[in-house]
Amino acid sequence: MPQILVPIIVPAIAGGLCLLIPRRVKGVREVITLAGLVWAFVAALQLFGQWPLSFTRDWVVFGDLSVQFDLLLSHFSAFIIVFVVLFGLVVALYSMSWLSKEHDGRRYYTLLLWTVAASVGAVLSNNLLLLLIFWEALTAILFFYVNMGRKKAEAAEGAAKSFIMLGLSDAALFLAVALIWVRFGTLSMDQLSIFVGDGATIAIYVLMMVGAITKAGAMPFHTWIPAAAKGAPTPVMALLPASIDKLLGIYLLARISLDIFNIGPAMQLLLMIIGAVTIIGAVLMALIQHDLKVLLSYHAISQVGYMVLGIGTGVPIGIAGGLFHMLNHAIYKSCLFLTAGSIEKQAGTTEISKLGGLARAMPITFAACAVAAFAISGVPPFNGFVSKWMVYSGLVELGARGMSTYWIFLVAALFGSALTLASFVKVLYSGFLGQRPSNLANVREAPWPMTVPMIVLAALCVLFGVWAKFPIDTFINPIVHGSVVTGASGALDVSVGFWDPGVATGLIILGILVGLAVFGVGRLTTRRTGHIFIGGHKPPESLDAMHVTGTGFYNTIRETKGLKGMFANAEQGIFDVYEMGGRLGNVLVQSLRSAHNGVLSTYLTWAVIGLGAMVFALLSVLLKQLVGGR
Amino acid sequence: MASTLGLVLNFLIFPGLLFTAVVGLLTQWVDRKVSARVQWRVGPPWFQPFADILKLLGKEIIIPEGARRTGFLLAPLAGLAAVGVVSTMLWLVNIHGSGFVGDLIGVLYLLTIPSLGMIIGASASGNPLASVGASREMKLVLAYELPFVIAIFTAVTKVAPMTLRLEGILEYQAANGVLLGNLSCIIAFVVAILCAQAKLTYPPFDIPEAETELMDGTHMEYSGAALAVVKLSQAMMLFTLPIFFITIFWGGVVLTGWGILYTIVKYVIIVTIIVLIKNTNPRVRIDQAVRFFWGPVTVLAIIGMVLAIVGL
Repeated sequence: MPQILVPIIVPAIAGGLCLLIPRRVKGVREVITLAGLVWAFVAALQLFGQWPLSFTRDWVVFGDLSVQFDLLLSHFSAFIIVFVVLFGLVVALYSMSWLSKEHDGRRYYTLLLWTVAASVGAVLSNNLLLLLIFWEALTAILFFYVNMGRKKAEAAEGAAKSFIMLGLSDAALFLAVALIWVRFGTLSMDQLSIFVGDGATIAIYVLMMVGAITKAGAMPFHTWIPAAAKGAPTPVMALLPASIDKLLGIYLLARISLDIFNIGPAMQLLLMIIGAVTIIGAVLMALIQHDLKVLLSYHAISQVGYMVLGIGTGVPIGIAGGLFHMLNHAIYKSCLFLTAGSIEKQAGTTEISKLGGLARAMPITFAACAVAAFAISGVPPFNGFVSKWMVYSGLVELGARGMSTYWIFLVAALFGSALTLASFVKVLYSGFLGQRPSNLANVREAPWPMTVPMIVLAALCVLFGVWAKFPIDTFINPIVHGSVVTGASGALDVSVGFWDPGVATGLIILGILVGLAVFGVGRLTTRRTGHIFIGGHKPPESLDAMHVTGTGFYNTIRETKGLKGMFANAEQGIFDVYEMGGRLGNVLVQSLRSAHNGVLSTYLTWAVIGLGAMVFALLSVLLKQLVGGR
Repeated sequence: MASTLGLVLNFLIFPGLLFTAVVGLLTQWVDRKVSARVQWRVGPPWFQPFADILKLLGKEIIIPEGARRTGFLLAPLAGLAAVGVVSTMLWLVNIHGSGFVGDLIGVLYLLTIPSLGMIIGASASGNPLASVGASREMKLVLAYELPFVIAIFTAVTKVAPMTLRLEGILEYQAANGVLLGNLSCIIAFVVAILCAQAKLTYPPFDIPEAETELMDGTHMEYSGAALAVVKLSQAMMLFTLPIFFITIFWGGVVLTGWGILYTIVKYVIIVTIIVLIKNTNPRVRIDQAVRFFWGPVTVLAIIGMVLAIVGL
């Protein structure tokens, strides 16, 4: 078997095996899953650096139309598959403890393995039709996956919504692929180079972009992610919408925007607007959520904005920032979903108002959550800061090139970052800090298969932040320089004037040590525990009354003039394409409904009228031809 | 290696933690003295802030029950370290013309860490009043961050070529005169001063601390050395923010000849404005503050930005 096929075929076969093992047999499934994924991961690591590597077979031949099974390992795809398999592996390990008896483990692991296989296939395929097939497979898998949630009604609703929205976006992608075939006669991605100028190419580009950003979850096609979050098993959220879907969606967006199409300033501006609106809109929604999973899912949308914005700048450092943010986001967001899953498993709920004070009971979960939360908020020295910094630099460079509106995007991005921080302060406060409600008194730390993945991902957040040069030089720079033609001028030199995270981190740590020394001078040893101070009153025996939930943390923001109406509209689904489409459809259906009164004679009348109309139309065409023929 | 050692010394002694702390405490004395004079009191002697810190260091630390000990004690230290780093960055850029990370966005982000540290620390204390203070502090950060960012980037827009490097901004000012000479940057400067008031949680924006309703809110449960650290980082902020504004808008710090005097005058003017606003305004509610910053102040900041783009 050629090595390039290993990361696709091994998980696919392992998935099939999992499905064959009877439900009652325990343990074997997990071993097969882990073994398959480890094998695929090693293969992906070995493939890294071997580009360009291709694999081509004739697949389907209909006369002149031959579809080729055409895989190509480029720098970009090699980097993506390493992380796709890594996330699969991490989530699989986590799921070993997370899954309870109520879940169907057989279906779960099969779907997980097939997700990895299909994602790797989509990334490696060099043929648009092949990509489309893998892409559709993922949509179908996601449907079954979300449906596995324990809360049946929400899970079914979320699954249906994601399936319909992703299905429609896949249809847009399909249409674009068909148009490319008709117009350019090839579907090989490395042979296509389309200049976006006339109406048709704009349409093709926009259709493909819709396909890509719906997968990634940018506005206005974002609403499937919160809907899925309500019902789906939490590790599934960590696997698909948080990490793999981001990698795939942004991979496709980057491929089409930088490589296959040569997009002009107008399309770049469109991307930047989508990015900026996504950042602000989604994070404002996240601010007022009261369920941890839904809150995280809105951040999964908001962060896509930075990636789209970065790619939209068309400036090398901005593009590199967007791509690096894609990687960083996948890391910290799946870490956050895993911590949410761990809270759900151990405390029994993700409802923010019912949580509190879990830091002492779950120190590892808390530490991982705090690191990932600071990373997503872009607090230095974590990885989110570096990639956001690169996006900002790209925007400033646009400004230096004379784009006078650059600051609107920059302020949106920076302010979005502050809002993200606010939202995660709420998460940290209401989940882990504050008083612990007495019904959570017996909560324990999650078992090691759950904590290890969280630790690994949190460690990556720190590593990629403090030694940002390594991932940027290894993964990102060659993409921007190398196989993908950026069409942007100017060399990417991030080392000049580059924020040096290592030094700053060292100094911050040094500062904290100095502070500890100050504590030492002050008599830290003589510290004692006392009652909390509530204006001189003696606190009650049970501290439950002292538990302030984080739910209302930002009610002031919610009530602010101007935002109040917006939030009300958003909660009614005014900004939801799915809801609005549904309502529009409903209006159409309702108006047609009155025609269906169930009386046979009415139907017959309609049928006769229809027949008459058809005959009339046919006759008029015939007559026209007869007249024309003469 | 020598440069690493030099940097560590820079960070620890001059112009980092020690220097910033000393000047910050002296500035706090100025603040207290001026406030006293405004209220027809005599005011404390110059060493009073130092004496306060020393006294706090000698007191025991009381940790409230139900608090998350590590978070409660470590969070203020992160704030202290962040201010120290910012101060070192700003001074090195001003003195040597190059810092280890002469970067504007780094400064902007690091300047929010003290607030963040206070929020985490207050949340960890488990006190309901402190958590109300934490919530208010976060909302205040959200409120001022929007106009603050616009104001700072007004200066960036005026600089040609546009850059995020602090050195670049200083070089431009050295060659073309201070940015404060432009109408747009005067507006941005006013906006920045208003935001600084909130960043320092000084009246009228001392909402998270609100002595009369929340009994020092976010600082409520802190005592002993931990409280000393909290107070110290506030004092350091009071010193660092004016230096930041001088660097961005007002030609930077010059430590040669008459430049020393000029720098001190600039610094004293900014501090005096802040202290006067502090003494002449009563506290507003948090919703009023949010509306104030997102409404008129942001509009003002946008006007400044638009003026900068058209070239004023």
